[in-house]
Amino acid sequence: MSAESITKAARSSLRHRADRPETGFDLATLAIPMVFVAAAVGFVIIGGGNLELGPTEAKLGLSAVEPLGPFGQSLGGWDPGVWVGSVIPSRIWATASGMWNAAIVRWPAVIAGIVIGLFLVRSMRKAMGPRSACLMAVCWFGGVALIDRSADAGLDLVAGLGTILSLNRLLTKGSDWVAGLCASWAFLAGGWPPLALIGLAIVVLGRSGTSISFKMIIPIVVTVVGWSIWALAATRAEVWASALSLPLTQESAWTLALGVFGLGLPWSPFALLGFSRGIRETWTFEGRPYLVGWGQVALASLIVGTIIPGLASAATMPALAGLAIVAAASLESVLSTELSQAARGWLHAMTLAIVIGWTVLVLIWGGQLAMTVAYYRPVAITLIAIAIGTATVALSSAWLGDRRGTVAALLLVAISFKLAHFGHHVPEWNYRHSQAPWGRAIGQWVPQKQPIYVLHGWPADLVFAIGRPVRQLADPRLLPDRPGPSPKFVLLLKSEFDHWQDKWPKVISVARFEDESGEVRVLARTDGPFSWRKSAVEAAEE
Amino acid sequence: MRYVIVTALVLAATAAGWLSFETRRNRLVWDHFDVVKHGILYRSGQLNADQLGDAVGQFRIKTLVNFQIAGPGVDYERALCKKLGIDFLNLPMPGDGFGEESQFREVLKACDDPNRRPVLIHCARGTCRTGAAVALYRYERDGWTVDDVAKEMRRQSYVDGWLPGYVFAMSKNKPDRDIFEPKVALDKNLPEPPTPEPKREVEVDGLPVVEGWKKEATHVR
Repeated sequence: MSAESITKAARSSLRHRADRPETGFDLATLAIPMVFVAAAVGFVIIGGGNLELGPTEAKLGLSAVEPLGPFGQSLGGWDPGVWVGSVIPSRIWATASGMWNAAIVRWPAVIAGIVIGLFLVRSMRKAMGPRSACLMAVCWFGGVALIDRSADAGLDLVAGLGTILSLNRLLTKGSDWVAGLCASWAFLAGGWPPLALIGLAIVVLGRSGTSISFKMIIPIVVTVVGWSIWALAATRAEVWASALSLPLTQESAWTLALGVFGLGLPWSPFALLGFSRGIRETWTFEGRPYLVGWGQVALASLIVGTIIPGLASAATMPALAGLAIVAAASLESVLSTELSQAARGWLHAMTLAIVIGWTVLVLIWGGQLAMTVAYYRPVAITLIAIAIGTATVALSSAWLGDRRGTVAALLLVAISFKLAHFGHHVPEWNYRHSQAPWGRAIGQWVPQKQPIYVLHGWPADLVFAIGRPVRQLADPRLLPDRPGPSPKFVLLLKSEFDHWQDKWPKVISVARFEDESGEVRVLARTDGPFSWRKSAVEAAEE
Repeated sequence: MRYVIVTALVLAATAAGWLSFETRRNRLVWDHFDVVKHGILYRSGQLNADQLGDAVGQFRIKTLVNFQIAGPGVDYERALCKKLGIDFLNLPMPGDGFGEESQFREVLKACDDPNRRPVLIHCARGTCRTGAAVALYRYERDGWTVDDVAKEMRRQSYVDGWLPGYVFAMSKNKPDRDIFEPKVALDKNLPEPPTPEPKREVEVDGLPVVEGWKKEATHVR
């Protein structure tokens, strides 16, 4: 029986079930888009572009402001760790907005997260009904992963978009060309690890409708071959080979499961309810293969991502999606059916552990913050107030056995996470840890679009924050021969400037900057007049 | 249950009131304390003697800078620094932070001298005067943009918006000085005003006077 026929049968069974009539329009259906929009805006879109880039994302940002190629580029050379698919959305954003800041990387990730959420909510509605679709939206958008979205936490939403949509297509419609196209995008954005993961998922699922088909394999083969031809034509074979072999240089990620569990908070613990046979039996007949399938994919992703080097990054997103889907389905069961004694105890124990843990943390950390840093006082006081309210709701729900109250308490925790992230983590990271102010300090001395040359690598986040093209030179003697306007700017360490050799082109100091540890950097330029001024004077003389 | 909630609320209100009172008296936390740059520059509001002693010990502070007007508080702190064996620098300036450039530059001198740093600077609340001194440090030593310095001042509760620009005017480390030479370029495009003819000298009563001069009636008594 093919996947299409299974789906048709499921649809017809839905249509003829007396307990779920097709009314065309009802309030529950209207609630889905409302909850979806509220969750997406509240948890993801508000402050979506505020967080400055870390080292990993900065490489993507640097590639986005360079000409498009089969790989990303940084310091004027190919960067085989950055794939073209992840660069394209940022490149489009940078071109359309004309900006050079963190937003060109952050907003494409926001959009990718929302698109993933859209498809998962849609599938969940078909599998479990409108309320579970609303819970799916909350579990997906209201987790730490979508609130933060940073690559330094191991998240790659743009590559994850292809992987998750491909797997979701496999589980809903079977193996077809759409699943192949999504997998192709995953390859373009993340290399072969997402393909390996999709292949593994197909093996683990082991269903007739989800096996590899020609329809699925052809787009993937065409993409891999086409990209390889492009890569070999655009650059040397060594770069192509290093891009493919780079994941194998990584080590096993032994803390992957813990990290994914943390990124799925506060909802991820409820995915564990999916292990309960009693909970699984409450899932609808039509939706069970989908939900169990995603559970299997999440588990398999966590196992292979932990053990096999190079797969951790690709495994994180499907594992997160699987956890969110199973958690949403389990919460639906919690709300809709009478639970066994053990499941009820597990539910309240997990909720109380999350809520009390968070409340204690907020009371200590928030209290300290409110007293010491006036800037964060409103946020800290709000968090404390919400935490006290959340603890009250959770305790009274556990006392009275109110399951709706339990879910409401978790929602309040998720809102607190967002508030803490928006009001404290983002400004604190931007001020205390990011390289943005130090990079902007250098960039403001150099005219727009004029390159700065360097003699060795600098941190990618500093280079991105400079906001000017940065090019690495093999030898300082090449400096005057570079194309473009004169003089040429060069960023040096103080020791490099002090020991600048006489046989090299003469440079003069433009500005000195101390870094966060007090070390000095020197922005220098080649001696001589500015070419634009020289040409202006010549034009005036003529 | 009702009694439990009421008791919890009363306890919470009492705790919050006590914490607020103690915080206002600077007895619980170091007021507006922050690290500007580890090992070089620290900032705070007015700390009490115990807190100052702790800060000096914990961060190995060698120079303490106080921006407040001389008085008993400053005298006390001067004596405390003598006892702790660290330099004390008093740079009295108005509470709004609009100090003299020479005063702020004294802070930079202390920060630049390896024998005098780390430096702890403070005023009453650690916002305006301290913020202005940190701003000059950011401009001169770190080269930060005005936007980033203003953001840092807002983070320390400065909301008025004048000081970043005021201090930026003092900075010698400004971009574009090199790029935009000459600093003044005036193109004279207005029509030249008519030049008055030079006055000729004529003789009146045998004396040289400028043409057009009118002999006033003089009454000699």
